[in-house]
Amino acid sequence: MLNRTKHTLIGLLTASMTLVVAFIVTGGPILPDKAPIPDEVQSLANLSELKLEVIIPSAMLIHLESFSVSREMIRGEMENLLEENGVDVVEEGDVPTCTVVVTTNTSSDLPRAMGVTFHLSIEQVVFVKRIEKSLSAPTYALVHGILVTHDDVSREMRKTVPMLIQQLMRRMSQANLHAEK
Amino acid sequence: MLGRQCLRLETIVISVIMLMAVIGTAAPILRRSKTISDEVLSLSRLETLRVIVTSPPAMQDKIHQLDISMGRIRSQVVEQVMNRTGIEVVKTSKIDDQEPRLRVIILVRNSPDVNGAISVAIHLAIEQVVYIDRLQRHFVLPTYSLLENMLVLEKKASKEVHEVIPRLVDRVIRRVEQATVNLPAP
Repeated sequence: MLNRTKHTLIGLLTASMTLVVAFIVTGGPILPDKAPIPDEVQSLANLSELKLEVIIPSAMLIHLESFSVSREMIRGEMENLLEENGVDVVEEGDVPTCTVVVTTNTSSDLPRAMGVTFHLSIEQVVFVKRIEKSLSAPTYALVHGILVTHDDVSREMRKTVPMLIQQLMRRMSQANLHAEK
Repeated sequence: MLGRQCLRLETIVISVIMLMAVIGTAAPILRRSKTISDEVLSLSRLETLRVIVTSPPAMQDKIHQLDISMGRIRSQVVEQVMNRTGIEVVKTSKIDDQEPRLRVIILVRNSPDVNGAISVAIHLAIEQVVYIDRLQRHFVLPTYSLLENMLVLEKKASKEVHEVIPRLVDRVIRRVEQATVNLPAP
Protein backbone atom coordinates (compact mmCIF):
# COMPACT_ATOMS: atom_id res chain seq x y z
CA MET A 1 0.00 0.00 0.00
CA LEU A 2 2.75 2.36 1.05
CA ASN A 3 4.83 1.37 -1.97
CA ARG A 4 1.88 1.97 -4.29
CA THR A 5 1.29 5.45 -2.90
CA LYS A 6 5.00 6.18 -3.18
CA HIS A 7 5.04 5.06 -6.82
CA THR A 8 1.93 7.08 -7.62
CA LEU A 9 3.49 10.16 -6.07
CA ILE A 10 6.74 9.65 -7.96
CA GLY A 11 4.74 9.16 -11.16
CA LEU A 12 2.78 12.37 -10.61
CA LEU A 13 5.91 14.29 -9.77
CA THR A 14 7.68 13.04 -12.89
CA ALA A 15 4.67 13.92 -15.05
CA SER A 16 4.51 17.45 -13.59
CA MET A 17 8.24 17.94 -14.08
CA THR A 18 7.93 16.80 -17.70
CA LEU A 19 5.09 19.27 -18.23
CA VAL A 20 7.07 22.06 -16.65
CA VAL A 21 10.12 21.29 -18.80
CA ALA A 22 7.91 20.98 -21.90
CA PHE A 23 6.32 24.35 -21.10
CA ILE A 24 9.69 26.00 -20.70
CA VAL A 25 10.99 24.51 -23.95
CA THR A 26 7.91 25.08 -26.07
CA GLY A 27 6.87 28.22 -24.28
CA GLY A 28 10.28 29.83 -24.46
CA PRO A 29 10.08 31.89 -27.63
CA ILE A 30 6.45 32.93 -27.21
CA LEU A 31 6.14 36.12 -25.22
CA PRO A 32 2.93 35.93 -23.25
CA ASP A 33 0.53 38.72 -24.28
CA LYS A 34 0.14 39.95 -20.76
CA ALA A 35 3.81 39.83 -19.75
CA PRO A 36 4.54 43.14 -18.09
CA ILE A 37 7.01 45.21 -20.06
CA PRO A 38 8.80 47.75 -17.90
CA ASP A 39 7.93 51.39 -18.56
CA GLU A 40 11.60 52.02 -19.31
CA VAL A 41 11.40 49.61 -22.25
CA GLN A 42 8.00 50.87 -23.40
CA SER A 43 9.44 54.37 -23.65
CA LEU A 44 11.57 53.14 -26.58
CA ALA A 45 8.57 52.69 -28.88
CA ASN A 46 8.49 54.39 -32.29
CA LEU A 47 12.07 55.59 -32.33
CA SER A 48 12.96 55.81 -36.02
CA GLU A 49 15.48 58.64 -35.67
CA LEU A 50 18.13 59.24 -33.04
CA LYS A 51 20.99 61.60 -32.43
CA LEU A 52 24.12 59.75 -31.33
CA GLU A 53 26.73 60.96 -28.90
CA VAL A 54 29.72 58.96 -27.65
CA ILE A 55 31.49 60.45 -24.65
CA ILE A 56 34.82 59.27 -23.26
CA PRO A 57 36.40 61.44 -20.55
CA SER A 58 39.66 62.84 -21.92
CA ALA A 59 42.12 61.08 -19.57
CA MET A 60 40.41 57.75 -20.26
CA LEU A 61 40.38 58.44 -23.99
CA ILE A 62 44.16 58.93 -24.02
CA HIS A 63 44.49 55.66 -22.12
CA LEU A 64 42.19 53.83 -24.56
CA GLU A 65 43.97 55.27 -27.58
CA SER A 66 47.13 53.52 -26.39
CA PHE A 67 45.15 50.28 -26.93
CA SER A 68 44.06 51.37 -30.45
CA VAL A 69 40.52 52.28 -29.38
CA SER A 70 39.16 55.66 -30.42
CA ARG A 71 35.91 57.53 -29.90
CA GLU A 72 35.43 57.76 -33.68
CA MET A 73 35.79 54.00 -34.02
CA ILE A 74 33.08 53.33 -31.42
CA ARG A 75 30.78 56.04 -32.75
CA GLY A 76 31.26 54.91 -36.38
CA GLU A 77 30.43 51.31 -35.55
CA MET A 78 27.38 52.28 -33.50
CA GLU A 79 26.10 54.54 -36.24
CA ASN A 80 26.47 51.77 -38.85
CA LEU A 81 24.69 49.25 -36.65
CA LEU A 82 21.82 51.62 -35.88
CA GLU A 83 21.40 52.46 -39.57
CA GLU A 84 21.51 48.75 -40.52
CA ASN A 85 18.69 48.17 -38.04
CA GLY A 86 16.52 50.88 -39.54
CA VAL A 87 17.27 53.75 -37.18
CA ASP A 88 18.35 56.97 -38.90
CA VAL A 89 21.20 58.68 -37.10
CA VAL A 90 20.72 62.42 -37.48
CA GLU A 91 22.87 65.36 -36.46
CA GLU A 92 20.15 67.87 -35.70
CA GLY A 93 16.47 68.15 -34.93
CA ASP A 94 14.06 67.61 -32.13
CA VAL A 95 14.64 63.86 -31.77
CA PRO A 96 15.73 61.66 -28.85
CA THR A 97 19.46 61.18 -28.28
CA CYS A 98 21.35 57.95 -27.74
CA THR A 99 24.26 58.83 -25.46
CA VAL A 100 27.00 56.32 -24.74
CA VAL A 101 29.48 57.14 -22.00
CA VAL A 102 32.53 54.88 -21.95
CA THR A 103 34.63 54.85 -18.79
CA THR A 104 37.64 52.81 -17.77
CA ASN A 105 38.93 51.69 -14.40
CA THR A 106 42.34 50.53 -13.34
CA SER A 107 43.78 49.55 -9.99
CA SER A 108 47.32 49.51 -8.63
CA ASP A 109 46.44 46.10 -7.14
CA LEU A 110 45.74 44.77 -10.65
CA PRO A 111 48.35 46.24 -12.99
CA ARG A 112 47.42 44.12 -16.05
CA ALA A 113 43.65 44.51 -15.76
CA MET A 114 41.16 47.07 -16.97
CA GLY A 115 37.45 47.48 -16.34
CA VAL A 116 35.51 49.17 -19.13
CA THR A 117 31.92 50.29 -18.65
CA PHE A 118 29.48 51.30 -21.37
CA HIS A 119 26.56 53.40 -20.13
CA LEU A 120 24.05 53.78 -22.93
CA SER A 121 21.06 56.02 -22.34
CA ILE A 122 18.19 57.30 -24.42
CA GLU A 123 17.32 60.88 -23.63
CA GLN A 124 14.00 62.32 -24.69
CA VAL A 125 11.62 65.12 -23.85
CA VAL A 126 9.22 64.29 -21.03
CA PHE A 127 6.71 66.29 -19.03
CA VAL A 128 7.41 65.82 -15.32
CA LYS A 129 3.95 65.89 -13.79
CA ARG A 130 5.18 66.57 -10.23
CA ILE A 131 6.92 69.85 -11.11
CA GLU A 132 4.84 70.59 -14.22
CA LYS A 133 7.82 71.07 -16.48
CA SER A 134 9.01 69.69 -19.83
CA LEU A 135 12.59 68.46 -19.68
CA SER A 136 15.02 66.27 -21.57
CA ALA A 137 15.71 63.21 -19.42
CA PRO A 138 17.57 59.88 -19.67
CA THR A 139 14.52 57.62 -19.65
CA TYR A 140 16.26 54.36 -20.58
CA ALA A 141 19.63 53.06 -19.44
CA LEU A 142 21.72 50.07 -20.39
CA VAL A 143 24.91 49.43 -18.45
CA HIS A 144 27.42 46.86 -19.60
CA GLY A 145 30.81 46.24 -18.05
CA ILE A 146 33.76 44.15 -19.18
CA LEU A 147 36.82 43.09 -17.26
CA VAL A 148 39.83 42.41 -19.46
CA THR A 149 43.59 42.09 -19.52
CA HIS A 150 45.52 44.76 -21.39
CA ASP A 151 46.04 42.35 -24.31
CA ASP A 152 42.28 42.07 -24.86
CA VAL A 153 41.08 45.66 -24.45
CA SER A 154 40.62 46.44 -28.14
CA ARG A 155 39.19 43.04 -29.12
CA GLU A 156 36.71 42.88 -26.25
CA MET A 157 35.56 46.47 -26.73
CA ARG A 158 34.93 45.82 -30.42
CA LYS A 159 32.85 42.78 -29.43
CA THR A 160 30.84 44.76 -26.89
CA VAL A 161 29.64 47.51 -29.23
CA PRO A 162 27.44 45.24 -31.44
CA MET A 163 26.16 43.47 -28.35
CA LEU A 164 24.97 46.75 -26.86
CA ILE A 165 23.23 47.85 -30.04
CA GLN A 166 21.59 44.41 -30.45
CA GLN A 167 20.30 44.63 -26.92
CA LEU A 168 18.90 48.11 -27.58
CA MET A 169 17.29 46.90 -30.81
CA ARG A 170 15.65 43.96 -29.02
CA ARG A 171 14.20 46.34 -26.47
CA MET A 172 12.99 48.72 -29.18
CA SER A 173 11.28 45.86 -31.06
CA GLN A 174 9.66 44.70 -27.85
CA ALA A 175 8.40 48.25 -27.21
CA ASN A 176 7.09 48.58 -30.78
CA LEU A 177 5.24 45.26 -30.58
CA HIS A 178 3.68 46.26 -27.29
CA ALA A 179 2.69 49.70 -28.61
CA GLU A 180 0.95 48.15 -31.65
CA LYS A 181 -1.39 46.10 -29.46
CA MET B 1 38.27 108.06 25.82
CA LEU B 2 41.08 106.11 24.16
CA GLY B 3 39.93 103.01 26.02
CA ARG B 4 36.40 103.44 24.66
CA GLN B 5 37.79 103.78 21.10
CA CYS B 6 39.87 100.65 21.61
CA LEU B 7 36.77 98.84 22.86
CA ARG B 8 34.82 99.99 19.78
CA LEU B 9 37.66 98.84 17.48
CA GLU B 10 37.81 95.54 19.30
CA THR B 11 34.04 95.11 18.87
CA ILE B 12 34.34 95.83 15.14
CA VAL B 13 37.23 93.37 14.75
CA ILE B 14 35.32 90.66 16.63
CA SER B 15 32.19 91.33 14.54
CA VAL B 16 34.21 91.09 11.31
CA ILE B 17 35.83 87.85 12.46
CA MET B 18 32.41 86.45 13.43
CA LEU B 19 30.95 87.53 10.12
CA MET B 20 33.84 85.88 8.26
CA ALA B 21 33.33 82.73 10.26
CA VAL B 22 29.63 82.75 9.41
CA ILE B 23 30.42 83.29 5.72
CA GLY B 24 33.01 80.51 5.93
CA THR B 25 30.66 78.01 7.47
CA ALA B 26 27.78 79.13 5.32
CA ALA B 27 29.70 78.51 2.08
CA PRO B 28 27.55 75.57 0.96
CA ILE B 29 24.49 77.84 0.63
CA LEU B 30 23.34 77.19 -2.91
CA ARG B 31 22.73 79.91 -5.40
CA ARG B 32 20.69 79.83 -8.57
CA SER B 33 22.71 78.60 -11.49
CA LYS B 34 22.14 79.42 -15.13
CA THR B 35 23.68 76.22 -16.38
CA ILE B 36 21.78 73.56 -14.48
CA SER B 37 20.90 70.54 -16.62
CA ASP B 38 17.36 69.30 -17.25
CA GLU B 39 18.31 66.02 -15.61
CA VAL B 40 19.16 67.81 -12.35
CA LEU B 41 16.13 70.12 -12.57
CA SER B 42 13.88 67.06 -12.61
CA LEU B 43 14.88 66.46 -8.96
CA SER B 44 13.40 69.71 -7.74
CA ARG B 45 11.09 69.64 -4.72
CA LEU B 46 11.25 65.91 -4.07
CA GLU B 47 9.23 65.33 -0.91
CA THR B 48 8.91 61.57 -0.81
CA LEU B 49 11.02 58.72 -2.14
CA ARG B 50 10.78 54.97 -2.22
CA VAL B 51 14.20 53.32 -2.01
CA ILE B 52 14.81 50.18 -4.06
CA VAL B 53 18.14 48.33 -4.07
CA THR B 54 18.47 45.60 -6.62
CA SER B 55 20.77 43.61 -8.89
CA PRO B 56 20.23 41.39 -11.95
CA PRO B 57 19.25 37.82 -10.89
CA ALA B 58 22.24 36.33 -12.74
CA MET B 59 24.64 38.38 -10.59
CA GLN B 60 23.05 37.80 -7.20
CA ASP B 61 25.08 34.72 -6.27
CA LYS B 62 28.34 36.48 -7.02
CA ILE B 63 27.22 39.57 -5.09
CA HIS B 64 26.36 37.37 -2.13
CA GLN B 65 29.76 35.63 -2.36
CA LEU B 66 31.45 39.04 -2.32
CA ASP B 67 29.59 39.84 0.92
CA ILE B 68 27.89 42.87 -0.60
CA SER B 69 24.67 43.22 1.37
CA MET B 70 21.66 44.70 -0.42
CA GLY B 71 19.89 45.10 2.94
CA ARG B 72 22.82 47.03 4.37
CA ILE B 73 23.02 49.25 1.28
CA ARG B 74 19.31 50.01 1.56
CA SER B 75 19.68 50.90 5.24
CA GLN B 76 22.65 53.14 4.45
CA VAL B 77 20.69 54.96 1.74
CA VAL B 78 17.48 55.33 3.76
CA GLU B 79 19.32 56.59 6.84
CA GLN B 80 21.30 59.13 4.84
CA VAL B 81 18.29 60.45 2.92
CA MET B 82 16.27 60.80 6.12
CA ASN B 83 19.06 62.43 8.12
CA ARG B 84 20.28 64.83 5.49
CA THR B 85 17.06 65.95 3.82
CA GLY B 86 13.44 66.66 4.52
CA ILE B 87 12.53 63.88 2.10
CA GLU B 88 10.24 61.25 3.55
CA VAL B 89 11.24 57.70 2.70
CA VAL B 90 8.03 55.81 2.07
CA LYS B 91 7.47 52.10 2.41
CA THR B 92 4.91 50.72 0.04
CA SER B 93 4.29 47.36 -1.47
CA LYS B 94 1.76 48.54 -4.02
CA ILE B 95 2.87 47.45 -7.49
CA ASP B 96 1.31 50.41 -9.22
CA ASP B 97 2.49 53.02 -6.80
CA GLN B 98 3.38 56.37 -8.32
CA GLU B 99 5.81 57.64 -5.69
CA PRO B 100 9.18 58.88 -6.96
CA ARG B 101 11.80 56.18 -6.47
CA LEU B 102 15.50 56.10 -5.84
CA ARG B 103 16.68 52.90 -7.48
CA VAL B 104 20.16 51.57 -6.76
CA ILE B 105 21.38 48.79 -9.04
CA ILE B 106 24.55 46.85 -8.26
CA LEU B 107 26.27 45.15 -11.20
CA VAL B 108 29.39 42.98 -11.01
CA ARG B 109 31.59 41.41 -13.64
CA ASN B 110 34.49 39.02 -13.19
CA SER B 111 36.70 37.25 -15.71
CA PRO B 112 38.70 34.01 -15.63
CA ASP B 113 41.53 35.97 -17.28
CA VAL B 114 41.84 38.35 -14.36
CA ASN B 115 41.98 36.21 -11.29
CA GLY B 116 40.76 37.68 -8.01
CA ALA B 117 39.48 40.90 -9.59
CA ILE B 118 35.97 42.23 -9.89
CA SER B 119 34.51 45.14 -11.81
CA VAL B 120 31.61 46.78 -9.98
CA ALA B 121 29.15 49.33 -11.35
CA ILE B 122 26.69 51.14 -9.10
CA HIS B 123 23.80 52.79 -10.91
CA LEU B 124 21.55 55.25 -9.07
CA ALA B 125 18.43 56.61 -10.71
CA ILE B 126 15.50 58.75 -9.67
CA GLU B 127 12.31 57.53 -11.30
CA GLN B 128 9.04 59.44 -11.35
CA VAL B 129 5.79 59.90 -13.25
CA VAL B 130 6.28 61.58 -16.63
CA TYR B 131 4.20 62.10 -19.75
CA ILE B 132 5.73 61.47 -23.17
CA ASP B 133 3.90 63.48 -25.76
CA ARG B 134 5.47 61.43 -28.57
CA LEU B 135 3.75 58.30 -27.20
CA GLN B 136 0.73 60.08 -25.68
CA ARG B 137 1.11 58.22 -22.38
CA HIS B 138 2.16 58.46 -18.77
CA PHE B 139 5.06 56.30 -17.53
CA VAL B 140 7.20 55.93 -14.42
CA LEU B 141 10.69 56.55 -15.80
CA PRO B 142 14.15 57.58 -14.71
CA THR B 143 14.78 61.29 -15.16
CA TYR B 144 18.16 61.42 -13.43
CA SER B 145 20.91 58.84 -13.25
CA LEU B 146 24.39 58.48 -11.88
CA LEU B 147 26.91 55.70 -12.50
CA GLU B 148 30.03 54.81 -10.54
CA ASN B 149 32.46 52.07 -11.55
CA MET B 150 35.34 50.49 -9.78
CA LEU B 151 37.89 47.78 -10.38
CA VAL B 152 38.89 46.08 -7.14
CA LEU B 153 40.24 42.90 -5.65
CA GLU B 154 37.35 40.59 -4.81
CA LYS B 155 38.38 40.54 -1.15
CA LYS B 156 38.09 44.35 -1.01
CA ALA B 157 34.83 44.64 -2.97
CA SER B 158 32.42 44.68 -0.04
CA LYS B 159 34.36 47.35 1.85
CA GLU B 160 34.74 49.54 -1.25
CA VAL B 161 31.07 49.29 -2.25
CA HIS B 162 29.76 50.07 1.24
CA GLU B 163 32.18 53.01 1.45
CA VAL B 164 31.23 54.52 -1.89
CA ILE B 165 27.44 54.37 -1.39
CA PRO B 166 27.27 57.35 1.04
CA ARG B 167 29.34 59.48 -1.38
CA LEU B 168 26.99 58.67 -4.24
CA VAL B 169 23.87 59.33 -2.18
CA ASP B 170 25.43 62.60 -1.06
CA ARG B 171 25.88 63.60 -4.72
CA VAL B 172 22.21 62.90 -5.40
CA ILE B 173 21.12 64.85 -2.31
CA ARG B 174 23.24 67.83 -3.40
CA ARG B 175 21.63 67.69 -6.83
CA VAL B 176 18.16 67.64 -5.24
CA GLU B 177 19.08 70.72 -3.19
CA GLN B 178 20.55 72.48 -6.22
CA ALA B 179 17.45 71.72 -8.30
CA THR B 180 15.08 72.93 -5.57
CA VAL B 181 16.93 76.25 -5.34
CA ASN B 182 16.79 76.64 -9.11
CA LEU B 183 13.21 75.54 -9.55
CA PRO B 184 11.36 76.49 -6.37
CA ALA B 185 7.64 76.02 -5.87
CA PRO B 186 5.61 78.59 -7.85
